[in-house]
Amino acid sequence: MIPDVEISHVSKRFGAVVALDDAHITLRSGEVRALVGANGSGKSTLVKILSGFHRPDSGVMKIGDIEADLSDDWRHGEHWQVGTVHQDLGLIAGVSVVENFLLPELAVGHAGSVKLNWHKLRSSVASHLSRFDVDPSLVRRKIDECPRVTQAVIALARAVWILEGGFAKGTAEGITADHQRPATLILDEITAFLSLDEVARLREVIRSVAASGHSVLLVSHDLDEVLSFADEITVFRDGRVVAERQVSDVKKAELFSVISGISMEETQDVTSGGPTRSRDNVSIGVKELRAAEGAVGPLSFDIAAGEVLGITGLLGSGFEHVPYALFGADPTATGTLTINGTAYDLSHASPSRSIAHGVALVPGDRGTQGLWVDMTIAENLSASDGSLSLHPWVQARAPMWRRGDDIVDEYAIKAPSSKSKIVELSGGNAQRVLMAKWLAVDLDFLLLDEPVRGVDVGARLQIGEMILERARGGLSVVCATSDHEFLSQVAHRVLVFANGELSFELHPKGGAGFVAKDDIVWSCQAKEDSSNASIAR
Amino acid sequence: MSNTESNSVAGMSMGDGARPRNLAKGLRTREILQQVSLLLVWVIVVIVFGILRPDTFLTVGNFSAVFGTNATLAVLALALIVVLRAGDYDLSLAAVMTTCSVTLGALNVEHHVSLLWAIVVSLLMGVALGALNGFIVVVVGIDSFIATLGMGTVLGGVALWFSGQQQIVGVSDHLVNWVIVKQIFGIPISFYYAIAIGLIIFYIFRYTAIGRRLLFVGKNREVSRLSGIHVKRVRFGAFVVAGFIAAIAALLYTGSSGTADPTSGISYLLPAYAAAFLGATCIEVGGFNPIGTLIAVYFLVTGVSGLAIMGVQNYVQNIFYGAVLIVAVAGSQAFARSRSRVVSD
Repeated sequence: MIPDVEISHVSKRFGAVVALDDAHITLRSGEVRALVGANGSGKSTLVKILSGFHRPDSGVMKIGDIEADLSDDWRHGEHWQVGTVHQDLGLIAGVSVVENFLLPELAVGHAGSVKLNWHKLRSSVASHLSRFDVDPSLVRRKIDECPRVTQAVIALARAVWILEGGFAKGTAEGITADHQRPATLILDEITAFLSLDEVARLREVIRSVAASGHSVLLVSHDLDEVLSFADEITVFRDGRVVAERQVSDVKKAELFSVISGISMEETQDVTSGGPTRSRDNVSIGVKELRAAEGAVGPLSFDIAAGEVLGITGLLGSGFEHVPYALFGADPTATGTLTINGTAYDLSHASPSRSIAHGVALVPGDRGTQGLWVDMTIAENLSASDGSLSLHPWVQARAPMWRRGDDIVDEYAIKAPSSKSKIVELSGGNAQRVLMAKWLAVDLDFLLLDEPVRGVDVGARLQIGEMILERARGGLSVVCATSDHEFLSQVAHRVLVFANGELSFELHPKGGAGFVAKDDIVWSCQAKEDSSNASIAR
Repeated sequence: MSNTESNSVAGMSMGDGARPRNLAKGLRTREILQQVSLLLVWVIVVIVFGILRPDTFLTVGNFSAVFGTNATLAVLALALIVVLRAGDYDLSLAAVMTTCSVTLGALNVEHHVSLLWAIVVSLLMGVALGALNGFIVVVVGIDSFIATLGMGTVLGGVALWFSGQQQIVGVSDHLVNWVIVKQIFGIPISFYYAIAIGLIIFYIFRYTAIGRRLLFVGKNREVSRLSGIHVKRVRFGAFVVAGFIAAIAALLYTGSSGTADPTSGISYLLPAYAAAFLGATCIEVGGFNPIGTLIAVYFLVTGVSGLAIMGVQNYVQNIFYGAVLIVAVAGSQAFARSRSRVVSD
């Protein structure tokens, strides 16, 4: 019988900010526990404490009859094993599966003697992988030749391998779980970018890890996923545990409101009451669009003034290339973009020209594409400010800070002032800055790529409202995202992609303002499931 | 860059952003201290050498020499930060300066071209070499570190070729007059040229749209591109401007002795880098900036001058410059880390 790990009274401050306030969590052998909460709610801090990265200010760890002070014994390796898989999976591209597998052990020199016995290593890794239904012949392959879901399973299998004693154990006695010591596998947002089928595959793997006697802690933003994977749910808000539920007794709407602290009625408000719109008010036309070196297209569609057009599909369906191609950021794009009657050839487009024509792009990756993270909010905002080109030789600083402060207030960005740097902000607030960078200027056409990736529930609602607000003012918007929940809150129409082509065009049903999530989910899967894709459903 | 964000911020907001006031005040004081730290260190260095060698170090003559004879290094370091600010390296600038200097000398002394025209050609040479660097880096797309390392070596050879492998002595006295002989407040006029160029760059960096674009590009090219900035134009422009300023440095280099030396100019490269990186630790902390760079240059040469007066051998210069470069970079990284801790705090 493996004892439970009971962690309680965990507090952690960073300077003036309380990240965790008397938090607790229990990890039971054989159980999958989900950890949910908005960005900044403290769940990442807890994960980092559990995995021994942060030392808590206080905390108690109880394992059977062992009790320890977590602020002393924060690396706790003796009594309890913890393995973590992060979203990036920690795999090295261009290197074989077996080498990736042994990476953590090779790093500290535990993989046997000085000379590596590759034959033996490969066979023990292969036999371990077969337990997770991974084809053992993959061990010689490069990791990037494996599908994303296989990579996720390999990363997960690797963490389990280390939990179970790693190479030393594997060779000596065969792989068996250590039945005295509890072991926990922490999975931090590893299902991003996976299709529903792939997520289902991962679900089986995770259940089997739990069944072999480990406890699993799953961190996720996706509530559907949480509800389908987990046995127990712990909800964090503002550094505290605000709810603990069994999955069987909880509804998604309730989780939404516990996480965000917004009452269920308010959640309803945002998702209802979209404007009705006439389809003859076309302002943007796209003809014969091809993108991503020919992998996408040819596509033709148009967008009405004030319309939010959702673009989605499974990973690899090519939908994510569309905003970049329309913005002129994809040098291989061809086609024609018509804005209010003026046609532009996309093969000669560039971001600077597009911006001059009133087109803006909010890229999907805040840190590397959207914002200068080590610069201030005001400086970031100034990049889209037309005054930069109006007065090339005189740029007073004061107006920049003033404009920044105004936008910080207007868009409810939580920061002491616009002189705060982006790195000092939470994900949701950084995303608000990125949205504001383009929403605060005059535009005819706004392109969004994953506008709510890694953003908490409260910020999602607000960003959705920001987009709809501008649309009500007549702005045409393209929103490319794999977040179907979000699309169902903002999109007046949705184009679904499969294999680089349009497979479905979805409209709201029964007088609703926005396209229903179920329809979107179904359409994304339909193409994959069978070739008899029919729009009539 | 993006890692910093995900690592240090993951899951931690600043709450309501309301730091307690005294903490904010403490941070502010710390920031100001950091901004002027190099100035303080400089003052301490002056005091220490002053106490050790009051008769020789603390003299008008020595200060005049320290400020007046190092304008070449100062201007070259200013040329360098233009490229560094745009996020590229230029390891060829000392060789660009030398080539321009030799061009000036050869035209004026050997081909009897008037000083004015020789200067014009020399400045154009700087612009052309900067454009060549820009072409190789931006258009051909070779990493700036490698491209300018190669260009620097090529130009070192070109300078020897133009000069016939020897010093060109006897450049017009007018140049010497206007560089080193004329003095204002007892300091040779070349010092004021360096200050003037520093102030112009300061204005451009801080108060013009071009300056802000330069910084945007240096901080993140992809974000800049997607924000509609002509990234290639900005980077190319930075190389050209740096070439031009290096050619101005060549005028001071030639004028300070009336000689164009095809070999000794190369030794300016390392101190210029030391000054640029040390300068980035003060005034505008974490960014290459002209005022910080000027302070750093004069801190470095004060140190070297003090060591010389103490009777230390010449080779110590190299040890000093090289060590400062490493310490400056290590120091600014340590500071960046401590700051990101404050951030995630």
